[in-house]
Amino acid sequence: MRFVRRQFIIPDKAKCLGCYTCLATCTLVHKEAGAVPYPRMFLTPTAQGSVPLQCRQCDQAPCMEVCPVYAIEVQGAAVVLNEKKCVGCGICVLACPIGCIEIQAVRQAAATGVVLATSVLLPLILSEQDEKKMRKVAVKCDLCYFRPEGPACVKVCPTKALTLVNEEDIRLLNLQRRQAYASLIGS
Amino acid sequence: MAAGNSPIVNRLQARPQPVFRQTLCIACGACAAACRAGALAMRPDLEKARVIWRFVPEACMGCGRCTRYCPTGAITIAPPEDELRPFKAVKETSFPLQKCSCCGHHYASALEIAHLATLVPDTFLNNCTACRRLRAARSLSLAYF
Repeated sequence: MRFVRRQFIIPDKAKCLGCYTCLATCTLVHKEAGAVPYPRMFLTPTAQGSVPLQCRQCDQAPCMEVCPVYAIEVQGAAVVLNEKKCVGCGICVLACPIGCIEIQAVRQAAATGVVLATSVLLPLILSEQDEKKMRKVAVKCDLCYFRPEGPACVKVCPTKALTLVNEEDIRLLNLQRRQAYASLIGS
Repeated sequence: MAAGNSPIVNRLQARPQPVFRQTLCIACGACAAACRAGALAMRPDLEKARVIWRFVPEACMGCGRCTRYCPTGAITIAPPEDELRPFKAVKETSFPLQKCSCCGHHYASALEIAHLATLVPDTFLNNCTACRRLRAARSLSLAYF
């Protein structure tokens, strides 16, 4: 059981411009923190506009349940992936209901050398020898748990399309909706 | 390989090696990801819609990392004189790939999906991650807040 109130980031379709600022900031912030320099969110285009999607920090997180090396664990309000433990098997990628974990590849030695290729493309563009030098890790949103001021993407979004939601916000929203419905049937 | 030919062959055969049970394997690729010696490899063959599992006994160090990471216990490590010796003969085998029901791309091993269906809700397992994201993005209402 988790006793910490859960939080997650929700995007607003109407406000998002698709400018990729959140993805760039995510990469930068995690690189400075010593994590794998890849964006933790996925800009998904739809007919009504693009949306940056990221992990919803599920309570019974399927990725946490299926991980064979127990690399995914709860830290505070976020479900955090320990990159040192991760072997890159990709079973969490398949278990995620919204597809917001992906396997990315970094050079074996350190996270400084970025190779812009996802593991789907790796067998096609690299020889077998090259592939052995790469280390694959799963990458997911961790709500910037190392930053005391909260997730960086929420701060930098130019149109404020991203919102950090906690249980209190959800409770208030439910209350508002119930009141709106009650006034509707009362009139 | 005849036993007792040379010291190096003797030493290779005295080393514990992984025992692979194909019926338990779900082709998730955790062993190939965990192997530091490059003895285990898993590569997709998209034309045949299969994923190929390959084991090179000569490269294996016998460290047992693969057995710790296998989620189903399909790989165990055993000394060479073990009675499970015949299972070590498996050097190359292949498993079917699953097709995404939405976009039609092969995205994972079919056995892995069947294994996951026993662990997590299987309402989304037929789709690849890109299609799942698309569905999640479409279902986002325009006016949450």
